[in-house]
Amino acid sequence: MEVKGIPKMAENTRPRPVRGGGRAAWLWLLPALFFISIYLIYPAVDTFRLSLMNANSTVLVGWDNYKFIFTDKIMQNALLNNVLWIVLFTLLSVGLGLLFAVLAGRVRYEAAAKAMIFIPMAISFVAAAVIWRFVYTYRPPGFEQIGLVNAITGSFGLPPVSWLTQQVIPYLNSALPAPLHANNIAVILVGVWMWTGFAMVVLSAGLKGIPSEVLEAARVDGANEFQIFRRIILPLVSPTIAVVATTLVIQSLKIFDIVWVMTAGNYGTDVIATLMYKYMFIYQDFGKSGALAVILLAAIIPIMLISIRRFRSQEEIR
Amino acid sequence: MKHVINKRIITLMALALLLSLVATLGVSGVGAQSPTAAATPAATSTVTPGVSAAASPLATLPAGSSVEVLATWGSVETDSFQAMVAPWEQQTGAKMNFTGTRDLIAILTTRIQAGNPPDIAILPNPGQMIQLANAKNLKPLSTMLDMATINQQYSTSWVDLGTVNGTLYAIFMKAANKSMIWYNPNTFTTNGWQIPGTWDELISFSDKIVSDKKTPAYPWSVGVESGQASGWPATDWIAQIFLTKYGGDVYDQWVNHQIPWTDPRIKDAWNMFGTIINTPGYVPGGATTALSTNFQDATYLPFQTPPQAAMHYEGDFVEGFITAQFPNLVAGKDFDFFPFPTIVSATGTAGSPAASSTVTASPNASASVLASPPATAAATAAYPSGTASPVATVASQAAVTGGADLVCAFKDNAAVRSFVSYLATPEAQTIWVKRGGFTSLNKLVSLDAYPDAIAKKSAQQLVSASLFRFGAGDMMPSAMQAAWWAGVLQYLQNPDQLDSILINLENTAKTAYATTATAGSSATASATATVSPTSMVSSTATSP
Repeated sequence: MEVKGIPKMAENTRPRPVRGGGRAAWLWLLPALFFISIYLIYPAVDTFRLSLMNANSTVLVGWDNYKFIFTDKIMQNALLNNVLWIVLFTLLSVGLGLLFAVLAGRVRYEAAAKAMIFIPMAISFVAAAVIWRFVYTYRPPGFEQIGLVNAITGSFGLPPVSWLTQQVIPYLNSALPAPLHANNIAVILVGVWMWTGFAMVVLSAGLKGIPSEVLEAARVDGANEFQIFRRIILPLVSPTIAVVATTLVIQSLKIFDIVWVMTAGNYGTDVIATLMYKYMFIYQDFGKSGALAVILLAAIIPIMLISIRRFRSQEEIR
Repeated sequence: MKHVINKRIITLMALALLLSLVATLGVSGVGAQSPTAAATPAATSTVTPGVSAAASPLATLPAGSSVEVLATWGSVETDSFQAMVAPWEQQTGAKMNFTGTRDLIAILTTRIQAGNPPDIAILPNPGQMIQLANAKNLKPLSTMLDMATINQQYSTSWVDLGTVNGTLYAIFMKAANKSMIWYNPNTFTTNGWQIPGTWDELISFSDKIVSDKKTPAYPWSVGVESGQASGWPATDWIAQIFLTKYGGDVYDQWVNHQIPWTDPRIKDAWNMFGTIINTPGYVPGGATTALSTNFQDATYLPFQTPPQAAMHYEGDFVEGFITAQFPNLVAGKDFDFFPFPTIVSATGTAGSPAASSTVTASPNASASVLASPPATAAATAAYPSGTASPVATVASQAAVTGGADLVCAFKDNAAVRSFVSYLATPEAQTIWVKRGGFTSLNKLVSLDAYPDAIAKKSAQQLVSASLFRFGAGDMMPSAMQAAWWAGVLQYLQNPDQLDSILINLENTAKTAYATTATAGSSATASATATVSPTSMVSSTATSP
């Protein structure tokens, strides 16, 4: 799919290569093609081959591994969790990033404010997850709460919540259906904390690109700040928002480190990547982990194509 | 001109490409050949048996000799191991190169496939050893060691456990005891509490603590959080309950998947563990706390001021946690343990089927400890024998789950022979025993060598146990073990889903055991064969 797509798009935009130089061009391409096929195409094809075989790759089982993934409860739960990640993580990161970008652009200490939001991005995933494990730490009622969240809620007289293991929504004591579990959301918030900075920096750059004359003209015409944001800023930064959102969607599909360190996928927080790791290195089932890898790749490719297409159309406008 | 340059560069690049291709092919060719090369010497090595085997382990080795050891041990253990090996290095003039890694299995697998295994690996459980032995990766120790000495110094059950298809491949050392209930003697004295001896007493004692409302107000501290391995402390509980209640034979059937996970006895063991977790007031915060508390943090509750819980079940490594967290506490006085209580099942005595099975399964094992004449005096001196006679016992069999590290050799040369022989000696093991954190299985290591009362008591319990088994999870295929860990977490979250959890585990087992069987040919079969005589019968069964 990917291989077919690229030359086609190349035809549309690039000038046709000069005839006669064809053979030389291929020779020049050879090293790159060689390495791409060794490091990219061969592993992808081989993973697909393994995904059609049994655990130790001795017997061909056809689509059984894929059937298992879409019927097994734990697998289904992981797929749903990824959907929740895509929606919640992307919406919150982009939304908060935009909010901070707009607000930070209006204060004198902009650099400092932005740095504060951006710092989590500089911390490694594992370190961030460890920090947040401390933040979410739970002690039974009546014990001294050493986790930040439970210490704060406790000072308002609320009972402690086991944020990383509890599925029911705290204080309501009612469980929502599958992926909307309290611990899932707690883990996703850590991802949001890390990636909001990224969204903010990119969106802030996009905001800086809006000509100030447009904004001034609007103000002169009597638009209030909300109208300016809604009718002018938002449409003008929407391409940037799309770029950030695409990056974050891909990020949330691949999400592994945070989940792995915080819950190891236990208590119903598994995502595709953690299950892929488990099936590969713990269950040593190459078939199912291969199938998961293929599904992950298949889910990411359309998003990548969309973003490539958009990038190209923007290039054409310029 | 330009064209000429272009062509030259192209030719050059094509050449370079060709070269790199050849190089890759060459490398992969070597990689493909070496495993077979590594596998064949197994046959040739047996040509010179007994020649250097009988030689003293401390004879001088040729200059520049060295052995490479791979183990899972960390900093403190590494230091102790170095100290243990120091006399060997001094007297033989050889060097030991030690690598400690948590990722032992992965590294070992990679190195074996690359045809470059370490000289010695110290494995954490016998399942892996059996697979490696069946794959002909291990060198037989029976030709390297003086078997007469080994049989004299190690009880038959441990020698049997290290034997695959009639050949000794591993020496057991550094045993672990996982049948201990830790408590704070001070709180027991203050509150006038008695140590329970049976499961029923344990439950009524727990009820008493709840109703007493003294300090501590909770009977149990349980924590199962352990990162990716979360859940294992709960599986230890279940394995211990199952072994104590249903005996060694059924335990082996369970571990080898000869009975399904849906077996009512397995469900019963889960439910008994559930009693501890889910009875209101037993665990502070109940299952929620158990799920989110780290297993190490859970060990502190009985010993902090004021104590928050009365008891904590876990292995002998807990002593290390306690002494690190509370350096002022004295072993045996401020913290101590009592053996996991016996369980009387409704259908009769739990102990007696286990006892009779040990006798029938390995008629020699019960007698062997005392039967080998030269060892008799030392054995009886070192290990005060159990009081119960297996035949007369009624529900007083102390079942012990635990583990031990296995010394395995991947190469056979003078240095390796000397090194393995040395490690097996009581002199070498006493060095680590004295440093703490090491329970020797060598019968000639004196109990007085243990650094404190707890280590001594643990060693005594371990060596005198009439029924010993490796932790169930460690004996299962790794996929099964991981699924079981996940299963207990699910059970703690939703105890009412136990039936469906067990059905899921049974489904996992069907594939997990099938995979191992195809991968390691007769791995399961031989596991069964070696596991059954595990029972360590060192009690005074019948004196000759």
